Amino acid sequence: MSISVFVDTPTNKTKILLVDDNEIIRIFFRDVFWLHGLDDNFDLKLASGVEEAQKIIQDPSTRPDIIFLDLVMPMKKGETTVTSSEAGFFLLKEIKENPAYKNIKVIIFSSYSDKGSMDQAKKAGADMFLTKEEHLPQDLVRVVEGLTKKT
Amino acid sequence: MNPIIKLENVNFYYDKGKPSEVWALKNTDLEIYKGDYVAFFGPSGCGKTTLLYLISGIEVGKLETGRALINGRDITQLSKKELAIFRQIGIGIIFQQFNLIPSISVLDNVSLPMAFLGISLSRRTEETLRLLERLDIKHLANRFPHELSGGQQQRVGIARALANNPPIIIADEPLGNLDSENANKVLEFLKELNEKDGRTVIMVTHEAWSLKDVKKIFYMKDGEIIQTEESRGSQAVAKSLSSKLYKELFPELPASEVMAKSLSHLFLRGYSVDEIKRFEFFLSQRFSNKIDADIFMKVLDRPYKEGGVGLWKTKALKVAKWTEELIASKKQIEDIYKELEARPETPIYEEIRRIRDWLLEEYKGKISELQKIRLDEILSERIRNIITADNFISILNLPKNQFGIGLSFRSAHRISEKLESILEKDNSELTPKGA
Amino acid sequence: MPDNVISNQDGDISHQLSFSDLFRLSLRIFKTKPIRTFLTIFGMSVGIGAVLFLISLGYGLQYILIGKLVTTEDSLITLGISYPPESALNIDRQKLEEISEITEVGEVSPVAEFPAEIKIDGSTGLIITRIVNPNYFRLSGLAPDIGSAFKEDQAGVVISNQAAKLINLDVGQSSVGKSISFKISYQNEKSGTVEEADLIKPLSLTGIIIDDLQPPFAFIPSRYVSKEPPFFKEILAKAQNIDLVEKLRDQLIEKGFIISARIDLVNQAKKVMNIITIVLGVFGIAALVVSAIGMFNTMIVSFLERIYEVGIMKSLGATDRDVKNLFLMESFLMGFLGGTCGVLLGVGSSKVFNLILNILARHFGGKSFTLFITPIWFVIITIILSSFIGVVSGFWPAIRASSLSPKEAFKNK
Repeated sequence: MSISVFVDTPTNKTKILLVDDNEIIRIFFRDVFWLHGLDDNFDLKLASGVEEAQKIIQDPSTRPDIIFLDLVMPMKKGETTVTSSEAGFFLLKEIKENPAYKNIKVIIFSSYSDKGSMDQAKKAGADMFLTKEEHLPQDLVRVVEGLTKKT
Repeated sequence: MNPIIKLENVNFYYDKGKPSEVWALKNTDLEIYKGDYVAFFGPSGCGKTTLLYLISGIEVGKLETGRALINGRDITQLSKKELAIFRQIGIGIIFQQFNLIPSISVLDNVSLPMAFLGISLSRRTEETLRLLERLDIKHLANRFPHELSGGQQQRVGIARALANNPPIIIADEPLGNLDSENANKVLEFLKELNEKDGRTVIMVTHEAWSLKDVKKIFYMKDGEIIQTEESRGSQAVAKSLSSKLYKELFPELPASEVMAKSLSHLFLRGYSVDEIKRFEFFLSQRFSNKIDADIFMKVLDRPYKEGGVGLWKTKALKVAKWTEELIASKKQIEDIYKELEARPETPIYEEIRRIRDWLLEEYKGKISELQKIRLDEILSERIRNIITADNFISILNLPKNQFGIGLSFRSAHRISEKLESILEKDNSELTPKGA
Repeated sequence: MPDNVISNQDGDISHQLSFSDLFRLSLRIFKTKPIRTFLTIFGMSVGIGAVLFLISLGYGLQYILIGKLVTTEDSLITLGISYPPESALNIDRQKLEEISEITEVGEVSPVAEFPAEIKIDGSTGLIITRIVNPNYFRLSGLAPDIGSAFKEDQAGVVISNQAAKLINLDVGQSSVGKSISFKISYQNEKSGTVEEADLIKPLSLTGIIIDDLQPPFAFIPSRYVSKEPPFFKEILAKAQNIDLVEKLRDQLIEKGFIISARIDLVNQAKKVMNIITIVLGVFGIAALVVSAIGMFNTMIVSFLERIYEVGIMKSLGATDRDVKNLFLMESFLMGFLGGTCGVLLGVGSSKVFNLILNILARHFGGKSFTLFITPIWFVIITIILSSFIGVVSGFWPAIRASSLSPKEAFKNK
């Protein structure tokens, strides 16, 4: 996989992190940024799981301003790895309960579309809930561009 | 600013190493910027189609040398999966042959790219209806492609290309199968996509008059870009471009042949490459006075199989008239171009369809799809004088299981009479009917 | 910049053609090539239906057969003990005791068979009587066709229909309760002596056995005979449990007896059934293979015809997986429908046959019965298997289609 040439981040680029275990979603998200020229204003990083995401968030130099978070992902529980929405909610709670991360916007980007999940996410502090199947590339671009206007 | 599309030293071969090897793209360098409206212009086989397939990710073969960069990324290095996603959201293609899926409705056709993204039915339908509305064909949402005219089908194709909001639109000979009215509508629309939406539009064409809104032209010949030209706004494109174009492409040819080349495409829209080549030959012979008007007329009329061009009566007369006017300097070539630019010739396929629909207007019975296709076939043969009027009637009458149309004797006669009336519209010359 | 390209672990199924879209798209096979689709499905369902029909028949027969053989639980573990007819031996009381004392024996029931005179009102006749204890019926598994056997202490008698005819009794429920008396002749062929025995009291008819193959007979409870029989023809011995049956049999054979056992018949029947099942299974597999071939052919043709369509879809961004799933869904659908229609055909024709047979049976005065039985689990297996066959036979064309390049559509340009 080619890695686009990357220069030191100018500080005015908004940092975005996508956390999703599905490779295709990561490619898709990255491609939307690539093809619609969002790379000029945004620095997009991709994480394939909870652990990887945590590393990126913990490091202040790579800490994102906005996180797009999938819910159903694998998570290590002792000896076994369980794939469920627990992983997503766990990370969401972790971010929202940590005062150091209070400025990070977390947007759930999930294939769930039921009200239960949405309520649960809202309770846990999510800033937005996007259902994958309702969002065309143009919708995603609109969301991302809309976000920076506010921040 | 970085170009949205950049080709660096691209060399591309088909079947490299085999006897059928073709050097399709030679040392190609080009840059296209975001918001451009460009065209690749050249005769068939010049490599424009290969270039198009390369940029749109359809050509998956490897480059011999060079890179093809979209927004800085080399798409020839992408994996199969990545290339599929690139095709899903990066490029919207409009085809000459429309290429709609015949077994699903217009709505489903336009929604298809969105379905590949896994988008919900409701969101897809919402977006599709919005697109159909924009193209003025919302009322056709539940119809099937074969129920639509050529112009309508092309609009469905455009709507489909816009489904996932790609920043790059590629139009492959988009006007090739359209009559003048619809062709102009499509051109208008491409302009809108470029100026209003801000999309980068790339057109591939061999018809000069379709370049009227284009801002930059890449002339291509034998796999190379031989010239790049910036066009300033909408001038009388046809003339300045056509003669210029062909001069650029064929600098070694005498003027008469160049003129013949550019006119042949204008006159014979929708005809096959061989038919156009033959016409070109005879036209240039006429321009250089190697044959006289009489012979030229006869040649235009004679069926293709017998060495002629195989035009139907009225068209042959029209073409002959123009040719004679040009030669006698009664008309300037600019005028011809202006006329043809304003009202482009209808491609033969669409013409036959129109004639067929008109012939069947008063027919009360039901005609199946298969019968329509067969009818178009024999209409085409009659129009080009390959079969006689009597042959035409007998095939109309022949039962379906013997590959005829299966019409009653009376209906067959009526329809044939109607047809003959327009074939012989200008009764100034009566050619003996013979096959 | 972590950009992990691990495995294709797709936790969710988003960003591809959804199941419902695949299903909707695959329904086109009924629109674009209805006859071809119909014939493929029909071919499969006829094959499956025929096999299902046969298997239902086999199952039904098995049920009936074993049903007839295994009328009581005990009859399965009971052995019939007797001396070979050529030997000059009879089973006397002492032998009976011996047999009873064998550890493996749980219960015994002696049977004495002697000629007798049967008398009712004015009619008399000569029949064979079998003097038994009431537990005989349970152990032997023999049950009267009309009425019932006599119970412990009941002064009842069970006669055969031939015997009934002899004394002008109606072979029907109306005869139950009639009073019959007997005079038994204990004939000893070896010693040549004859003893006579009467009944303590007349017996009332409790049941009738329909048997036209034997001479007229009757079962009389030994309790109600004035004299005990001198010897027995047969002893029924029930083993303690099924595991001891063979051990018991071996011991008895050693003692010189010949053994007949219900369980042997059942085992033989089971063997025959197994062979039939295997044969039917082979037919079934053949039917499925033929269907798979038909399906494969249909899918190959479909693939060849749709190279253009696949090319268009891929140029619009369909992934290999989308194309593969599309073809697989179509063949799955055909397999599933083939199986379902096959089930409907097979079960339907079985039920029709059953109905006809029952109507005929009732017409001729017999009982109604079920000749065709189709177990539910079998139906489910059939449908699952045929769906699987559908997927399998569509697999190769699906893979071929998925590997087409997007340019295929434009190759003919």
